[in-house]
Amino acid sequence: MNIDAFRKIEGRAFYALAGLLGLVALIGLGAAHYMETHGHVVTGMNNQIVWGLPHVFAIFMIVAASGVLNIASIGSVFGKPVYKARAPLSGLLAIALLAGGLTVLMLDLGRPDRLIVAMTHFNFKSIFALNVILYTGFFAIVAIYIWTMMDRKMYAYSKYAGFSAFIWRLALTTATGSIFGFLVARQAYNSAILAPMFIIMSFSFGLAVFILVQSFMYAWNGMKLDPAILRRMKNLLATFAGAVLYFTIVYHLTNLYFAKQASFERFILLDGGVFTNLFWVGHILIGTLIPIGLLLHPTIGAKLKTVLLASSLIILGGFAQLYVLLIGGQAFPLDIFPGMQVSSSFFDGAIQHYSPTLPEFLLGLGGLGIALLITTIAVRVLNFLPRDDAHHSSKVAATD
Amino acid sequence: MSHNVDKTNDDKPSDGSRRQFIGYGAAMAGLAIAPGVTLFDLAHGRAPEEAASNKVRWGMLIDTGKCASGCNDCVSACGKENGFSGSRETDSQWIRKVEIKDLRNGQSHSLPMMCQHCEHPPCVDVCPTGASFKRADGIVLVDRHICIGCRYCMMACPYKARSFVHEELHDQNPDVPRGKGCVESCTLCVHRVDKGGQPACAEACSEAGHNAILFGDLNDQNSEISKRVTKLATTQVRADLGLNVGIRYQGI
Amino acid sequence: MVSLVKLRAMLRWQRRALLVTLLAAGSIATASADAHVGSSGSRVAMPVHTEASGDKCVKDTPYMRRHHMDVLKHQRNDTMRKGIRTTEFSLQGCIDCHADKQTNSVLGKDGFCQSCHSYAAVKLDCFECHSSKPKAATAFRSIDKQSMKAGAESGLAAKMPQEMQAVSLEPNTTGGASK
Repeated sequence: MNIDAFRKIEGRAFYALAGLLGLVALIGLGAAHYMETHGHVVTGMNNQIVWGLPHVFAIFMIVAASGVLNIASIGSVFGKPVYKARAPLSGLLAIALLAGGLTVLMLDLGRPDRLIVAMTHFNFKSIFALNVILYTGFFAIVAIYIWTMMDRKMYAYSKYAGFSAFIWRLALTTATGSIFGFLVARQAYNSAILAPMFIIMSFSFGLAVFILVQSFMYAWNGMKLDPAILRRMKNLLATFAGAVLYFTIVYHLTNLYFAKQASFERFILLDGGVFTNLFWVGHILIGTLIPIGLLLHPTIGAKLKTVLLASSLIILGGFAQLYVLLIGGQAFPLDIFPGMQVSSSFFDGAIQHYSPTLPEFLLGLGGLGIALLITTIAVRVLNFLPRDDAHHSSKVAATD
Repeated sequence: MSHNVDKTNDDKPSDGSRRQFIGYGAAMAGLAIAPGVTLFDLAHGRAPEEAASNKVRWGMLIDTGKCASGCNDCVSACGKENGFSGSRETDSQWIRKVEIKDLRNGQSHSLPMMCQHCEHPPCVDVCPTGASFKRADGIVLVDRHICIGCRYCMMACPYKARSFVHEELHDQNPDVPRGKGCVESCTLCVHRVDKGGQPACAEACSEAGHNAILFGDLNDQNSEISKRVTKLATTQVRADLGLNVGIRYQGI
Repeated sequence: MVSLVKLRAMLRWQRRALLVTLLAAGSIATASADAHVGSSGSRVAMPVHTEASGDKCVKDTPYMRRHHMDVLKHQRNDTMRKGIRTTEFSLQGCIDCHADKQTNSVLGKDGFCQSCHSYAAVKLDCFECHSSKPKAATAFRSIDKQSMKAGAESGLAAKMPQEMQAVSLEPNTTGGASK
């Protein structure tokens, strides 16, 4: 459909999109209500796999949220004008994705009605409690950051707001990775590498999501992204995806070096069934090698369609990676009696199988719906569309 | 408890002393019939208004040599006391029998595994609201008034001691409140211990004559458990984690 | 992206539709409200005053009405965190006296806790975990029976409540029984 025909129905198309996303969000809320009233017995989670599919969605969104703010940080902190034009949209996406991710996380609690308790009782030794504080602060800081960028009177402060947001989101992603890194009990976690790995994952996922949303907005408005900007972004995306691969290699190589981790690595890399498949095909092949190959291809690499495909594959690979990390890490039994074969009525020593159920999947989707709904309404109401020529000329004069 | 609806309150004094005599007699008879009674460390019941103190550290010593492979007495007793049963993947199991086998030489053991009541519990460190806590006398508990059911403690426990309540519960034991959406684990039968009793598992094991589980105060040098732990070589499961647990094992 | 004037113009029929829906919903609500007027003149059942066991409560009624939630909250922290099990404000103590004599519960349509809480529309969270029945009415044995079996200390026997004296003498085996 060409842009003139689309412009005629644009109003209705907006309502259709918002309606669809609202419906997805509502269905997610309904699924959460069903889970809360019947208890988690209606999910595939049990006493062995305690965090399931909703957590995979939630952690993806939270990690992507802090990563998508990277675009703004490259603009404000590192002073690249092209990225400065994109900073407000990046901030908005950060808030929207974090809101969606947190909604899923909070609704998956055993007692979501006790949210007030979670906000008023803090055990500061818990990295989870620190995360709650960091997430709340993130909303405030990014909101202020967006304000400094969009309000002409406040523009002078955007540098400071941007820097604070940058530091805050580094702390936030480090803390998110440390949720797992601080767990001494499980062989998949208890490693300091998880914190920086989550930071790099956030860079990769965040930029992929940003590229997709930005392209959608441009197509909706009949605008075309400057190929030079697209080239820059796709090279950056390839770099980030490669960096994630680097961290994955280091993580597994180190584990393989320890005799006590050998059986766990064998499980993930060789005979873990769905987890092995998701690791090699989902994370490595679809999520890393194919996108990098596409993005760095000399002829098709710079085309918009290629970049969009690569971004989508990176996102899918990200879900696979988190699924293997989160659920594979729980499926592998705890090593309570090292060197011994163990069995019990509580499934000690046995690989646990997890089959996600529909309510969990709908809840996760609902979170995505909420994030995209917030984005859709906000870009309709406020000026988030990156305008390169206008921004570049006028703002360059106003700032450094 | 004196506030119970007690229809016998208006007894004549002579009835009181007769009942006392029957009481003493029954206690003596009970002593004679139950041989394992000496395994119960006389933990003089704490007065109700007295708080738990860190002068006491409750612990258990489990002799795996006396633990038979097919026996589930401790598990049944725990379920009966605390009001749960079943072994579906979503059912709570506060204590379970674990069969371990050394693949190199075929040596096998059976032992009960429950919350180890660590001195440095990882579950307490990670709980965002502070619902998972360690009482002064060493018992690790979940304050279900503020537990939000995030299950992070279940991820953190190296012994897989914690269970999550996946469905609505009815007819709970009034001494053991437990409900949907909260995490729970072995309480060392704190409702019994506070009144001078011992955990249901230890009691069941001794009453059945196996005497594999000994409960007592690790800080009291005169207690049976302290004497044994000083005299014999006992181990903590996953001692390498440095958690200094209160449950010690003998024979593994 | 879209100016406010255009937005207002776009929403013209939507605003009218919203107004009509709100009016319709409001009138339906008020109409149905009158349909449930009971003999007491209100839609919600008044709380039922059940006679409790025992002679009087641990504190007088106005105090309890205003402060029972604070008392319970304080007591729960004392019991949970410190192991202080004084009986004056213990929840089990409340239930023992206030449980309905027929249903043996403080919940249910005319239950002591439930009827006031339903009237005041305050959610009762306690009984998700706590049993609403007195200990004696449940299938669970009292701790005192166990102490009797194992307690060699004469002090323990002397503290026995009167009704426990009649307990049988055979060893209390739980083992060997099937799951």
